[in-house]
Amino acid sequence: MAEEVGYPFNQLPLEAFTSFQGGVEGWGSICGALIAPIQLIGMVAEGEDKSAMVNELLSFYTQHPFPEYQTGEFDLPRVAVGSTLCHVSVTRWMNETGMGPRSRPERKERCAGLTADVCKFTVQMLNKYLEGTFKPGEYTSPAVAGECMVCHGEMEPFAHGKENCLDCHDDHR
Amino acid sequence: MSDAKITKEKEISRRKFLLGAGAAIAGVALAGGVHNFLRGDGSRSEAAENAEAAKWPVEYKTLDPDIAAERAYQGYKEAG
Repeated sequence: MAEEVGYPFNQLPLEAFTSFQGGVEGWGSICGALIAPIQLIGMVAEGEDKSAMVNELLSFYTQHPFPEYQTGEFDLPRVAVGSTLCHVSVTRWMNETGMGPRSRPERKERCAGLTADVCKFTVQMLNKYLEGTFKPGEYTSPAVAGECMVCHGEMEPFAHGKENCLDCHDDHR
Repeated sequence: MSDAKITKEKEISRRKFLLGAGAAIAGVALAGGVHNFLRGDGSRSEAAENAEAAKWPVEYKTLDPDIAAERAYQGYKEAG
């Protein structure tokens, strides 16, 4: 965008985004690959379109088997991780593939490929938005989140979010 | 145009953008009531009054998804 549009993208120091690695300095919070794309969407779109595209991106992240982008150096298994949290994303991928610990080169390669996948999806989506052909709903947040929030949005134990609740909480139905 | 003048203009553009970002942050603080809590009288600071807001939404231009993916990959490998 710095090359295609120039200002203000050419004023953004890339160093400002490095603290998002490891789910923000290793906290395992939101995946750092999502932050810059979310900011880009927020800079070029507004209102319902902006919200819809951010929701679409996060839903895509939970469902897409990463990493699709691979250079051929490794033959990495692709896993859909079901969460936007770095903690869940990396942990699930390592445990399902056996390619841990986190310091292993395959894990780093997986996150590099994931970053490419997230960026590609965002650009494809924004291109459609620019053309006026973007239609939200190809990816949606887990249905269970909506089911849980019907009650727990208003009654104890209170809860909030769009992630899959059952990743961490028992299904008491 | 001399290199010194180009550099100066870049500095000014950067300052304008940072001021715009500052105004945006101030706006968030106002929305959250933080500004009023801190100042008590609800008035805006002189800096916020003089800051030039960045144009929003910013123009988007069609990008090549595959090139974007390649650059994201390389960016991660270099800084990740």
